[in-house]
Amino acid sequence: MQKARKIPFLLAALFLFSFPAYAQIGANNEPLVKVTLIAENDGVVPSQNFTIGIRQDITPEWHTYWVNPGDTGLATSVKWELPEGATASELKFPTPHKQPTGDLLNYGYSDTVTILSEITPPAALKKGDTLTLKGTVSLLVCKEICIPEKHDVSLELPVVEQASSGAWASLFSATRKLLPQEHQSAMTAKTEGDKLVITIAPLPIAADEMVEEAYFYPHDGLLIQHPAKQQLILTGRKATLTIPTNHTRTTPIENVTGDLWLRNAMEESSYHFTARVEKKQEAAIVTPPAKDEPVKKIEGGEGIGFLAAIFSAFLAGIILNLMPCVFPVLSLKALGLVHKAQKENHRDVVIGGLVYLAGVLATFTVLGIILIALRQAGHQIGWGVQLQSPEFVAAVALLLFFIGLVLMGFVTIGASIVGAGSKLADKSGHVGSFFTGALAVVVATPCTAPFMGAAVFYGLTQAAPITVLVLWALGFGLALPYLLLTWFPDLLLKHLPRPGIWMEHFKQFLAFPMWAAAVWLVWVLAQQTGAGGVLHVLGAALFLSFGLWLWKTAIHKKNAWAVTKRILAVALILFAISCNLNQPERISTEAVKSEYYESYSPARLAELRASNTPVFVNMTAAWCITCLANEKAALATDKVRKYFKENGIIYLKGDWTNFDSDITAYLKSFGRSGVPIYVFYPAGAEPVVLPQILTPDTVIENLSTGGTEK
Amino acid sequence: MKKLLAAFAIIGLMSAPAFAEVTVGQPAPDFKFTDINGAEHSIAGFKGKNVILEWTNPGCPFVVKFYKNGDMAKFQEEALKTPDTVWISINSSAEGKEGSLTLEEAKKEFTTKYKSTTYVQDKSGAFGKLYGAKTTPHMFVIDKEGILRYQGAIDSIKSFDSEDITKADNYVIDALNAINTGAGVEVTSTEPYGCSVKYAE
Repeated sequence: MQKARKIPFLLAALFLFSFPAYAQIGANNEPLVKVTLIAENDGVVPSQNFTIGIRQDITPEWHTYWVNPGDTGLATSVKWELPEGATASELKFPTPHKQPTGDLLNYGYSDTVTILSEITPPAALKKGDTLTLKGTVSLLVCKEICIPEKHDVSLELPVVEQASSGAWASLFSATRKLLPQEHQSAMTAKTEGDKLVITIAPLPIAADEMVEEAYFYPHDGLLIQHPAKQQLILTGRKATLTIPTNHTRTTPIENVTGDLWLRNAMEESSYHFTARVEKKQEAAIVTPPAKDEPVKKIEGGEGIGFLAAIFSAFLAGIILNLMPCVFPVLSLKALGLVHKAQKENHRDVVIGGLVYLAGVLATFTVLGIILIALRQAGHQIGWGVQLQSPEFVAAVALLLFFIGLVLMGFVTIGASIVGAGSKLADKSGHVGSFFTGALAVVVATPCTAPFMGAAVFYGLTQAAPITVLVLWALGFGLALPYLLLTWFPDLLLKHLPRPGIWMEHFKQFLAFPMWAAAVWLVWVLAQQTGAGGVLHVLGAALFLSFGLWLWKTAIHKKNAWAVTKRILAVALILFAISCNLNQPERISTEAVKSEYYESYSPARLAELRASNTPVFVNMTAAWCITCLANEKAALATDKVRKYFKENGIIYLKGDWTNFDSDITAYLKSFGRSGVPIYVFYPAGAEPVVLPQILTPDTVIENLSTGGTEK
Repeated sequence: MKKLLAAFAIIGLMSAPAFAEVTVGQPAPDFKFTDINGAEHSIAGFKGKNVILEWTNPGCPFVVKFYKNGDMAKFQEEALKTPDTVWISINSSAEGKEGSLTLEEAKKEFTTKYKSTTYVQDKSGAFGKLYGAKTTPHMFVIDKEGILRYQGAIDSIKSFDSEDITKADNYVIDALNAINTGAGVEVTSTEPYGCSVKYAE
């Protein structure tokens, strides 16, 4: 039936193709859109307004347009011919859908849509009269090509004393749900460079913490770049959308109005959005949350300002120096200093420290660019995401193994070029410093220090320059202890015994924390890829060390056999690296069955919250040392288990070892970009976020006072 | 590792958007093209002349609106009365798409319906994409110094009814007159309306 209906129009389309000279759809052709005028009630009551609808049944695959048609197209409009004294309200359009065509994006409707209008009847109406409404609906219907259509529509309604809902009543109530809804939330809009930033808080949708997708349909066609990605960030119950503005606009943006569409796991709905653009603000200043915001202040969460973020990133950087994988690198540098301070002048030492800083900052810049690129591409990002890549984990494990070999003295790097005193050596020394800086960053990434979560989250959600600035603050903190030592070497030298064989032993000892970290990473890899990945990384370690040994046996010799061995050694090392980078498919982390906890899912959490059950949520990952320590020391203890059981608390555990968008969204909603996070939801009360370092007592204390204190 | 490579690939892509967008007040980008009569032109070569660019597609109802009663031809004649002014009609419909013409058809189309200076076939879409032409019609006005002074719709009433033409403000004629008299162009950028330009996929 429908197919048959379509044929004349395809013919019409062909006609347009082959005879481009102003072909027009003839009046005898059946239109692509069936337009009917319908009324909600079966009659009109004198002096009572009523609602009518313009219903469009659109041929499949074709679409008509919203108020703002997007890049091309034309909004449906109507020219009314109403009886004297009657008026019609502006058309109320349901929130449209995206209609992409090539690189362009349009806003409109396919299949069917009903556009509403409220009619005020003429004053003098008597029972028994008939009210006739007439109008001409102009619309543009497009698929690949566009066809303009005009439809004369009319509707006759009897004037009655008491109107009852007519045959279309259910369609009207369904249509009203598709219109943008009224709400009480606060809305703001501002421009930041070539971006428009709009916010709404609290989110008007039910289950607002689980909003997965949002889109702003602007009324003004020159406001935004329609096809551009709209970046959504949730902080607590506030949503922020960042949208590239339309470059062709030449007048300042003053008012921002449109429909804000939101979707979570359960429903989708849209809301009126209207805001005046705030006076230009420095991008660095974060708007404080609205005064009466009913959101609990979350520890280290939303609203952390620029300076606070910079400072805590800096502090976190200093703390990173103490992490098991970074400490050996720093120690090594410090030991090198002991040698250098004796042999070189102080200026060179200071320059070495600055080059080390440059290495750290450069690596953080590269990291920042990658994070920004991922964000631009629409990925949800967080700190520690690099560890969700088995290739990255394996590469760092092999790197740590190799550094251990160096520390042990099995491999001597650059022994031939670090000739004492020569000019070249000074230069190589600085190159070395630069790469030590880079190395420190790479080995530091697995460790999330306290303070870092909030600062890095802040950094990741801001404009690109701020992201980089926060990462630089982190890098500066990381490099600072060594920088200080280069400036004031006496601080260290005074407290150390005279250089001697102990230094060599200490250096060898440092191999063990490196290998320990490697063991841990191999264990993480096992969680991600199973036994296959372990085989790859251990095999790579075997080939790497064999290759290195082979090279050593051939060193300083020039005969053919030695050359062969060296070629073989290089081949083995390359093979080791490629074998390591070529990790097997990751295994899915299946929902773990345990009597003690359940796997986290947004639906399960919503269900438990709805049934007024207290819930404890733990977001963890195999590569997060803090998480594992907390589980071991607090959550898995009999004391806490017993407390959960006695108080009927359901324990939900989310595993972020591999990427999981639900968990990323959950972390984001609390202003975090990494694990761990511990949240207690008392029955029927606001959630409480627990500290990042747990003991059985802190858990029980927080849970027993949860929702009543703070 | 694949993810990292992908990230760099994305950075690369971001720097070369599929759609350029020209900015009013900035120099209009240069482009070399050959018209249907084989004459070669370039935007830079028109320095000293006002240049009007019109994106057109004979199959598009919004273009039909302006050509079926000769309205666009009247605008073209009116515009070209302004000293040192050229009007270039550009058809960016890709081969096989709506509005794509053979050279013969294009010549016939131009001589029978158009009063513009020249007509250009841009089947590759390079010209259109350089200027970010989105719709037919989509208009651009460049002044004698090569600065883009107007971009957007041809007039103020978004419809496919030719009756609306006389009721609407013609932004192109207004802009050209303002440039000619030295007054500032009042409306410098609007949202173009019409069919999408039928670029190759």
